[in-house]
Amino acid sequence: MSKKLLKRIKNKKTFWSWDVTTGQMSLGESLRELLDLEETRTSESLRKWSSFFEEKLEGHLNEFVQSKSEALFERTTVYNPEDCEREGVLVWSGEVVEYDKEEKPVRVAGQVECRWRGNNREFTMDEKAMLFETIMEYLPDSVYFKDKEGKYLAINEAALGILGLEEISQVLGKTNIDFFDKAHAEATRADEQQIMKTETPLVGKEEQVEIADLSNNPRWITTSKMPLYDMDGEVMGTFGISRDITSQKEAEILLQKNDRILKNLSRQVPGFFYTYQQTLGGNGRFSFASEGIRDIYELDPEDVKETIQPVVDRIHEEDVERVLGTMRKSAQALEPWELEFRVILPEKGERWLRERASAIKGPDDTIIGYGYVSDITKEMKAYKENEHLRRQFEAVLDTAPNLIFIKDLEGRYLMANKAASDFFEQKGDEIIGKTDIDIGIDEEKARALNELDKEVVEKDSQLLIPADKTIDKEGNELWHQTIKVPFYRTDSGEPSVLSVATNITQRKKKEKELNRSLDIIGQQNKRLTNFAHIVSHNLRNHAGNISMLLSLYGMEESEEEQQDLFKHLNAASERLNESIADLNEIIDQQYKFSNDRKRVNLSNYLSKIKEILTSKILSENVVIKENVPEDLNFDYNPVYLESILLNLLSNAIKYRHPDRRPVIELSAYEEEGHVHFSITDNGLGIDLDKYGGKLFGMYETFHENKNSKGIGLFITKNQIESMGGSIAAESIPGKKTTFNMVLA
Amino acid sequence: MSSVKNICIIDDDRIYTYGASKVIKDYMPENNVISFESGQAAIESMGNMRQSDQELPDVILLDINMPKMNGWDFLQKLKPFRKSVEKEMKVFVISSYIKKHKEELYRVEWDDQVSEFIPKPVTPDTLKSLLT
Repeated sequence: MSKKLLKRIKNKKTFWSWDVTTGQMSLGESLRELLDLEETRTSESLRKWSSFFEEKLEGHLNEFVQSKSEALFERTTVYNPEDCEREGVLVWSGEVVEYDKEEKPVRVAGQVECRWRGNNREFTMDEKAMLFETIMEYLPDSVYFKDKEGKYLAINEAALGILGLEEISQVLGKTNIDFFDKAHAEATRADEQQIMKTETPLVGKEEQVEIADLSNNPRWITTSKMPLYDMDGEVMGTFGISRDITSQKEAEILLQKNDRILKNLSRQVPGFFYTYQQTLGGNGRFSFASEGIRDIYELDPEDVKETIQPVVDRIHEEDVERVLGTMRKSAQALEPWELEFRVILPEKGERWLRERASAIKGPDDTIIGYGYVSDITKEMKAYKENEHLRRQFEAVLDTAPNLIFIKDLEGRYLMANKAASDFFEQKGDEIIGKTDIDIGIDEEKARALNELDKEVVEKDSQLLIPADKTIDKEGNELWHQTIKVPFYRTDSGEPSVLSVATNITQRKKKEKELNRSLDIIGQQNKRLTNFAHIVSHNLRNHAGNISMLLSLYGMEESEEEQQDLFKHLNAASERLNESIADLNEIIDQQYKFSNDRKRVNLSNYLSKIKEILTSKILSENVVIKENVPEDLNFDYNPVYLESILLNLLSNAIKYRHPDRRPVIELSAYEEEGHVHFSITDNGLGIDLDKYGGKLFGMYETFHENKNSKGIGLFITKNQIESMGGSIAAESIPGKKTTFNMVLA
Repeated sequence: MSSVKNICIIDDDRIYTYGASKVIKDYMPENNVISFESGQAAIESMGNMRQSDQELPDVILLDINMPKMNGWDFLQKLKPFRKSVEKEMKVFVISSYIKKHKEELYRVEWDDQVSEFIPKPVTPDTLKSLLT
């Protein structure tokens, strides 16, 4: 059984199948529906179908089977059942689809076509003939009929024109050889013979022919030729219809040429360009699509010749509404548009496209659009990355605790991060365009800052402001460290300055605390060292002496010697007491509140000290030259001041040079709130290269002097430093000593 | 022990000097004692002794922490002085500055100059054993 046929039958479902042995006729479902048959009536013997089909059908089938013909079974029966309004003709076609072992046909199957007869009345034969004649005469296409030998049987007016003749009689009985060149005549003859032999029509054959017309130009003809049957259905010749398509053909050739040029051009253009056409209410299509569509949409230009749907299908689902909406609006308003959107391509995946298009009104209310589409994925990616970076950067800037801002050389803020805006108490962007003076910084400082900015640009190098103090509303000190770098604006290239200020208040505080504690630790360390010194040397010495003397005392028998020992024991004990007293003084002094300041007059205090030392000054004939302003008043601890002056003055007298009259020079002046005081003597002097490091240490003595305890300068230095001042010595041994002090 | 020794004490602590001298006088009466309050006084005096051919000290008990010229400076000055005389002079450094565990350190600098480093305070017994 031919599979092809069976498939066709099944597909159409209007099939029938006749069992040769039983005479049962089975009908396809759609055929039953067509004939309004009940569902149950699928298979019955033909005799039972007789009310539907003509009885002769069975005869035809039997005849067909017996003829063992391999051709198709083709018969027409009249359909005119009594109880049915419809009438018409059933055209049966089929073939033997099954044979038994002896090659006898077992089953015939095929299709039925129903041709219902309309209600229109039929033309009479005469009318039909007239209609034919009229059509023939006015048909612009040429129609001709030929017999088996190719001789013209009939020809219409149009055909006559093509042949360049006027009278039909000139044509009848002649063949193409009489009108065309030999090659063409033979070719057409071959066509005709083929058609007659196969009984297959030749449709739409295009050929170029030379016709004896005025222009002598070859003409393009399209011809359809069919076999011509006689009343008995035998082939008796051919007939043909030809149309002169020269002008279409020429237009087509021109179009193809243009198309080629356009194609070649479009290959040079990276994107995809098109013309678009939309009829009123109809679907749009790309009347022209450049080769670029392959790259841009991964489509063939042919895909969109009739519909833009393949392009629409490529558009990203999130963008498709936006694109179509814009296109609709543009078509209505006839306005150009530009869009960026995403597409999903089978090969390249997601891409960004930019489309620019404009629309004009064409004939018959159609819309004609012109557009250009380019791939901007790279651009978009770069832009997005940029944008992403910019956002990140801004976020970083705004979360940074540092004040970050850019000012131009006129001192106007071009940019400020959140920390900076907050610091200057400006909301949002309102700082932009303002100057430091505008935001409440005092004029002098604003000018100084602007000068620094100018310097940065001038030198084209960065600048560090290690520490800058501001006072906030609550009166707290705020410290900032600022780095300024030249910054050229990307838009105008104008120089400006980027500043990054870091709050170092905490660090500064810590630094101060650290310094203070370092000082304290240093001082305490010194005191501790001195204390250890006392314990290990003095006390031990005294104790050692006492124990030595006591053991000697125990052995001594001479009363006189005992008394002598006792005297020395006493002295040792006294010295021990003195040491302990000194220690007390130092400890006492260290716990005194050093900040107990009062207004003091240096001159008055000097007078007081001189009074205390009167007897010494007189006995040693001391000259005191005083260069101290009488109105030098300052805040100081009076007890300390007295102690300092007394100690230094008495030292100056104590270590006088034995060979000359002691001269002591005192001088003082005030500078930056501090009193600078110096005392110079012309005494013994001291080798500072040797003893400088020990000068202010405890129990350091440098002169063989009965009264030197090595404690005075130690206390003096302690007192001065605890007030925040300083003391230093310079000396020429044997000549003079100067103590310079800053009393803070 | 028959030979008379000249013992020189250099120390600014007069009570110590008194005590040490008394120990020597009481227990080693054959010895002579002289004392100085500083290195300066001692070296000057010894210079005079050499010039006038007086007997130089056989033993020097030297303190370290003294005004004007301390013990180390004295030792520095004594070095050339020793070379200029034939007298053998033993030096004992006796001072509260001396720490027994640091003796090696002192030795590096003063090994040939100093016989022994003794920390203060010293007992009469220590002094006795040192000088006999």
